[in-house]
Amino acid sequence: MLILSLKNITAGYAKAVVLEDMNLDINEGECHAVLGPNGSGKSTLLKVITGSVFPAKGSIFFLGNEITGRKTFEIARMGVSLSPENRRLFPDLSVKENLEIAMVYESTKSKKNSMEFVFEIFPRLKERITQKAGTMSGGEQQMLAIGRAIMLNPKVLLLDEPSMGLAHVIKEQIFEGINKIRSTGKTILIVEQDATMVMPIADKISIFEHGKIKWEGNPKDLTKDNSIRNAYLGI
Amino acid sequence: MIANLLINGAVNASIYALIALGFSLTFGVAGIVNLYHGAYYMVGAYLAYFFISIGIPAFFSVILSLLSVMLIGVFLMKYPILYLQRKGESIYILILTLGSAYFTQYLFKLVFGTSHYSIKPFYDQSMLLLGEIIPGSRIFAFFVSVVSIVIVMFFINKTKFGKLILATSQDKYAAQLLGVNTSLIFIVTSALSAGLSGLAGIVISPFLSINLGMWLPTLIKAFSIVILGGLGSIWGSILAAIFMAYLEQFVALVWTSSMTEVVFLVIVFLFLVFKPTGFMGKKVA
Repeated sequence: MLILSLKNITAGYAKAVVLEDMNLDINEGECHAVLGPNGSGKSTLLKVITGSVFPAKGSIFFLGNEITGRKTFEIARMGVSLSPENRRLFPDLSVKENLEIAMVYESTKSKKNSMEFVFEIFPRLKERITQKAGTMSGGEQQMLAIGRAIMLNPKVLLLDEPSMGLAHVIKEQIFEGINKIRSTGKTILIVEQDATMVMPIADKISIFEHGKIKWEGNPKDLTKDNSIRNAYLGI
Repeated sequence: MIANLLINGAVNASIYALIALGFSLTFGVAGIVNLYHGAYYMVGAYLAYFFISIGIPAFFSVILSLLSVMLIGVFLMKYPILYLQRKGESIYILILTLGSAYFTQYLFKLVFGTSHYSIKPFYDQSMLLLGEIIPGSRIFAFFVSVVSIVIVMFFINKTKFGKLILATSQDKYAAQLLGVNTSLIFIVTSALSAGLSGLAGIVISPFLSINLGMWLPTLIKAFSIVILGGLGSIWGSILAAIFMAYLEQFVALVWTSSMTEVVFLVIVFLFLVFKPTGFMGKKVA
């Protein structure tokens, strides 16, 4: 079933067009990865979906309803959650408080359940529960950013470059966590530069270049297609 | 003499802290420098006077006045400020809020004239402390200010809505991604700020005069205190309010009270040049 669908999206900043006539479909339960170099429109794609960049043309549908032009907080409440670029944690709040913001008005019980789920995925966060988010290491902050996004119990989880700026061993921990989230059947749209991390967990891959989709398919086909791999992924 | 200075300093510090707290909140949460902040103080005082003068009991007059001031806070934030903020030009907000303050002054001149007014003390039991007689109205102002500050601090740090305010102040975009309606947070913060400034205007009315010129020095003090304390730092503002109140007493003692604002602004200038983060402000990355 189609959960998220972009139709003929053109978007950008001022006069710079970043996404051009883009069509993208995300199926329920899939882990869909978007790969591509810097400036190919990957992050803009996520900003358009979450309503912080309005497309100049085109429409976005979530579970069959048009969400184009909706406010960011409304889209979040509908069940689209983004772990943003640069993590954007609340630095002076503790790990627990960061996690709870999304659920302040929920019951204590559902808060506890969601938090238990986050701690199952990233046990490190439980050890850091009272620590201020701003004082943690980069890897821990990334875990918290993803954990905070799943606290909303979203229907689609969007991840913007979760491996950015992290050491290889930390990247592996992060992707292990993402794989655990995926195994619960959650729909994930992940934007990455590090193809080696994403390939093993993705069900479908789209490769962006200059705001357009250059290639789309499953990871197996990509391993066979040497020209695409060499040209866009450097692996 | 010294006792008098100490006591008056403490009373003024509490009132300045009350005013600066609101100014600091609006800046810290919404990133907005609201030059209407002194006008809330003036509107609070005039409306309390007005409601009392038409025969409404003092307590209800105060409530009505506070609600009206908060409504102005809601309106200003909800329509023009949020609109201008989306346009992305903070200079527009400065012009709008300063212009609105002058407009309010003009409007009050038409309605109330240029006379000075005063209202009867809400509490009139004077007290003897350190050999000085302190009027009841000042004691009342001190306690109302301190209690209000404590309540607001509790509200922000301990309640659910307060947590949303804190989160929004630290990262508005991240809060939106988690489903927080940040415009609503801004509006509530603005109402709260307006109410605090209005309350300060009401509690000082029994011992300072209500007049058309009262808003500008108040705005300058709030502005100085918040910069001195460190923009957006609530504890810094409270510390700076105490410092400024005693400095004011000192300036009045050794020089003249009419130079207070000048001294304040000179200190602000020195801080901006040599320690722009103030007492407790953080460096912005």
